[in-house]
Amino acid sequence: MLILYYWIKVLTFADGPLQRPDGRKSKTKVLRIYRVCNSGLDASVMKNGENSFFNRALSMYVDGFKSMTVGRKLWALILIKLAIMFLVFRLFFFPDILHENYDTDAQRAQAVRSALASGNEI
Amino acid sequence: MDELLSTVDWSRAQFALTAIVHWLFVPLSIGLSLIVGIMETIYLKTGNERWKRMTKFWMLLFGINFACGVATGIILEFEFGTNWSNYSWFVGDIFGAPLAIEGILAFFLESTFIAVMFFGWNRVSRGFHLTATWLTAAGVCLSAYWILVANAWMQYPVGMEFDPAQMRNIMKSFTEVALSPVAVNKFFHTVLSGWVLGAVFVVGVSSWFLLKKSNVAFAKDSMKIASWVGLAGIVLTIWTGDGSAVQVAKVQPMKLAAMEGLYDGSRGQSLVAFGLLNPDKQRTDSKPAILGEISIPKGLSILANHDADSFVPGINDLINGIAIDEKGDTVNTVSYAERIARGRKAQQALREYDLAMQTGDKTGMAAAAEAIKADFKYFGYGYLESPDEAVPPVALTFYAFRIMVMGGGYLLAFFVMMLLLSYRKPGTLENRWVAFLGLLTIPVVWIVSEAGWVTAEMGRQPWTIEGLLPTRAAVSDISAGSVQLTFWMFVVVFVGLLVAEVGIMTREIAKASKKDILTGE
Repeated sequence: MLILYYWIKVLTFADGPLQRPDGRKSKTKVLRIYRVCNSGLDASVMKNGENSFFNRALSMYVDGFKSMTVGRKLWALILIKLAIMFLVFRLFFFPDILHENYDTDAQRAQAVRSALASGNEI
Repeated sequence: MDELLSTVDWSRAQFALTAIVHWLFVPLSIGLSLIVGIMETIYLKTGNERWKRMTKFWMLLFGINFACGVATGIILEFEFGTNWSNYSWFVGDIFGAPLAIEGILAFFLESTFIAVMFFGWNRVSRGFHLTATWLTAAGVCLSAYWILVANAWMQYPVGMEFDPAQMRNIMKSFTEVALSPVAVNKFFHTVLSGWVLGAVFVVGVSSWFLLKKSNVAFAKDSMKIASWVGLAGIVLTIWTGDGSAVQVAKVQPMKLAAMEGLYDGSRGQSLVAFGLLNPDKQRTDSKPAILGEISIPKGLSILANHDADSFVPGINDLINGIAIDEKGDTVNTVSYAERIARGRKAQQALREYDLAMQTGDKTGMAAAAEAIKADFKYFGYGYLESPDEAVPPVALTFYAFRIMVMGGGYLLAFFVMMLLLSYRKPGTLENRWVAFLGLLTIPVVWIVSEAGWVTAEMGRQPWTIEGLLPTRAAVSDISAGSVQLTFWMFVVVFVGLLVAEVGIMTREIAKASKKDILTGE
């Protein structure tokens, strides 16, 4: 949810105000979408007529996430899994050996050359 | 040396464990996405709500599997960087490019349209929703394609040139890598086997409903669709498997010899239908390789070369330098003793290149680079102590191949029977034994599918990259203990993940059995 929240926030503000169908820029709409995010992802704050592709896509995601049943468990599973993978395995047990031990590509190449050039003494 | 071998063994075991677990999820996603797409297409054509409900039920199981399987493959990339650092560097962008394309293109395609699949009912038009479903299915296949391109390159390295300065293989032809005949064949064989696995899963779960005498109409309709998909899948898998055998005979003849337990080949070579490997057999003795053998006359010649009288080389023939060329003719090729000598020559040239580089001797570097290039094809053989080290583990390859082939035969018969019953005697599907058979075929298809990968990967040992880099040279300079520790951590996590998937899935199936899926009541 947090990731989605920031994703929406970046989308709505990083690109500046959204274009209305008539071409005018509407800060109000941006603020409403922002309210959608801040009001616990409640798509109902969007008013009739704001039927742009973006709004429909947004409300599809918002309502979809809100009405999830099994999906909640699955998202929890995915997040736990990703946390274990990246925050535990990657961080503590799976360093990129060459990137950790050497600063430049030339040094890495040299390390591999030394290792592979030792032939069947490996 | 012992520590190194131990590191190699544990790293291989860890990679195999991760790949096997990853492969539990992937083929089900491939197969279920197709079946869901077909059901939704029928819904769009007929407008009948029962097809929509069927689609939604199988889509839910697809979603559970997708969520449980997502990112399990990432661990393989961690392992490359930590356990296989020499390999990771040596393959350069050849391996990186397909994986990057997979990540960017296919993953985003899947993750975008999967949201429409699940959240888009009643929000987007039926046509758009169906398009999203098919694009998700296409995304799953596209992911598989790029991974298989990377895998195929390891089995049949093409489209690259080795640069001793960077110590990497540089991609010279993206087309050669991406459209390598091995990659294309592997893709179809793998994806089609995914159809079969998905189909068995649907038939198996439907059989469970029939055992419980719940959602009978739903189960029978699902079985019909799945059985057609399964039959088409298994026929095409056998067909592409045949293509694969011809390819293996040409580009990895040692793998084919190991698959057959064949030490000394002949013209009109028979194929072992049944038999046990003789555990006392040594490569150079005259004891029979197979005990209690029942064979199909000329079967292996037909399988490998599509020519009943052609020569199929055995392990000893290959070691002695007898093989078949691309046209299927018997030729004298480079013996393994000579390959080892030439590999060592290339490695000596690499040492000279290194020395010249240290002293800034550009002429020396150029001369050494030429010398490496001349024998680079056999570079990896230089790491072997003797030709025997180039022989894959025969027993594992032999039995895995037989499990795959016999399992494939069983699955063909299974789908034919299911279709016949579905159309001729649909009432029989509710028979307890038939339903049990459907349910028990679920683990069978997974074993068959994994056996296919075991054949492909064990059969290419000792190589990580065929002829260029054996596992012992590819591995990092790390302690076996650290790999052992993470191996057991993975075992715990993977078991947990499987328990979670099976738990969530069985709970949803059990929940569905208490209501009428077709009416939603």
